[in-house]
Amino acid sequence: MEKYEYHIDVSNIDVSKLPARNRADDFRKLWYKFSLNKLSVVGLVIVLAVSFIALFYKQIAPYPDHIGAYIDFSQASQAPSATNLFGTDVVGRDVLSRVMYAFRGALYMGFFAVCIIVPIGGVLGLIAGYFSGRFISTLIMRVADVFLALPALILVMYVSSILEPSLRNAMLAISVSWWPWYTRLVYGCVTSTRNEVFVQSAEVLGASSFHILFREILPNAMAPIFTKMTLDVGVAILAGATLSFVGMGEQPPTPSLGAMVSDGVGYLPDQWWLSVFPALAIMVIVLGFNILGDGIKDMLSNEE
Amino acid sequence: MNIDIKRIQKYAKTFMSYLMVFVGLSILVFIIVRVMPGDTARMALGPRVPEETVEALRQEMHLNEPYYVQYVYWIKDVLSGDLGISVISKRPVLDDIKTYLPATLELVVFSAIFMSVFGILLGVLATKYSGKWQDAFVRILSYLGIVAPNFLWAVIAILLFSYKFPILPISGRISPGMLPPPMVTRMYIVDYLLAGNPAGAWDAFKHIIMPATVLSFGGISQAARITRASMTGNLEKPYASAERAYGIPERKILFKYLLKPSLNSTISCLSLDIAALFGGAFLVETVFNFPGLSRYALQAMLNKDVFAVSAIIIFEGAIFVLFNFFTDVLLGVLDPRVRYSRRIQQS
Repeated sequence: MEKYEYHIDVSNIDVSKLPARNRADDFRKLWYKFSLNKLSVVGLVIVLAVSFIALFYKQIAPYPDHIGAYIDFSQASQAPSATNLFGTDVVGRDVLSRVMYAFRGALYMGFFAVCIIVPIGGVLGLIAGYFSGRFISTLIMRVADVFLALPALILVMYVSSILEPSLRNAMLAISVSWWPWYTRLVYGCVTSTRNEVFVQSAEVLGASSFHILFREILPNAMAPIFTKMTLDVGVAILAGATLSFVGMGEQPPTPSLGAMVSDGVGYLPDQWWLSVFPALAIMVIVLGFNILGDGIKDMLSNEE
Repeated sequence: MNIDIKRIQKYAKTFMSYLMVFVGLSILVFIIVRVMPGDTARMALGPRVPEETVEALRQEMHLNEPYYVQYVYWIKDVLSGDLGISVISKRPVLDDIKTYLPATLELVVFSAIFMSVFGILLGVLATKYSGKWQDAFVRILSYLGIVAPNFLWAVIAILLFSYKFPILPISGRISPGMLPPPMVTRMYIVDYLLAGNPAGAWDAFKHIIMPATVLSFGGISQAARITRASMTGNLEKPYASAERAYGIPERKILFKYLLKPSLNSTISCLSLDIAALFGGAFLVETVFNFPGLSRYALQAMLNKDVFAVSAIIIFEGAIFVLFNFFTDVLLGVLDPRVRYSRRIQQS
């Protein structure tokens, strides 16, 4: 059998003449990988559509002033029709416009909850992972374990009940109970890359811990963090809807998806549109983020 | 099964670490219940009580002493069963828990059975018909289960089964007009059967089947998803190919030989879900008007019932920790790889 040997002559490479690696190519490659799975693109479209609706609410909604204290009993409790695509509720407000406005609250909660949780949980995980074996690491992981020992919604509900019910406090409650997952995730990533050669060489070269953590280890952990972030926006929105279902989220008359469902439950089955449409809206948003998260996971994974 | 010292030592060590988590949990609960919300005694008694009574309660609850002393008193009380008096029902919280716990327990047991059986079954089905419509159906179902909130399924179930096809009742544990059975375990179905009243048991069953099914949806989806993923991963393993080469029918391979190794991650996930059922049942209990512990907890939180809330949180935390511990042990029993991995590492 012949032995194949590859001879690559590296002595004459002129580094300045190599094609530059630019960001545009990187993004194009990522996009190609992402779009291989059509379902992921659907997820992205859903998320973009929801964000678009939430941002440009004033221009799109058919009855933008129905979100406030608006009463018009002549139009109350109408079934879905050409003028009110989702019907009207008991005081005459258009359900479609209220659902659109509720998107804003939901997305706000999802994004900002994740924006709070990920830095805090992630940095704690980085520290715990890098200094693993020392006291601070055990302390952080133990505290995370304790927070994880409570069933998720209990802590969220309890913190919400102490504070006044509002959107911001609901977000705070969700952040308080959700950060340990990121700490665990990042801890796992950090401990597995900690003994890699490039980290050790950076240490030998005298790089500061800050540099190693944030510029060597963290970029390698971004893939699972990103995936989990996307999925968690959906989870945070779901938790927010649950909270507002029991009355601990945004207060009336500001519409919020969970509150709309809970208000409509008493009118089942006659005025089914009061509950069904907000519930479907919740489902669609969370579904979009879930599919998008799966797509991001596939995009960032290195399988052939 | 040999009982060797090493395994018992390992269990003891796991138990100790869970105990530490529980202690940490109690500290956390103490902090968020006592330290944070402000004037505990005033909140416990309500706004209209005169100041002397509040001061007397403060003395009794040792609220004027440093926090660690309060913590010790509180732990002593909890461990001896004195969980305080609920502001709402004016009964000892322990009695309240004893009244409402069996209802939630029944619900959780049924949901757990549904979740395990149907989740694993659906996962195996999806593997067997992988690529065909059954697989797509199961995948869509599992997406929906994860994505849709509990109360959505509750609402749909009520619409379908109580209004469109009126076969199932929608509230309470037994129909009005039926007498509750003699209280042995306080779980209505069991008690009816024990008292020899099958009609009563059937009625209680009809009341519980919708909440239990709705509650189990999220767990079914996750279990199905994970089972399917790990089973399709195991389909190509060398031992499966060897069994096919021997001529063992595919069905037998799936159910007899592939099932146990694939259940590893499913069991972890299922146990997490089942433990979370205790807390997550409050939505379903509210919608179906099922008098259970979670609904009681929700009312307590909304009414700022300090004692009840702290008791319930630590109670559910204890259940969670216990459950995790048993799952670890169970995993060790079921999967020899978990058991022997340390031994292999040591040798």
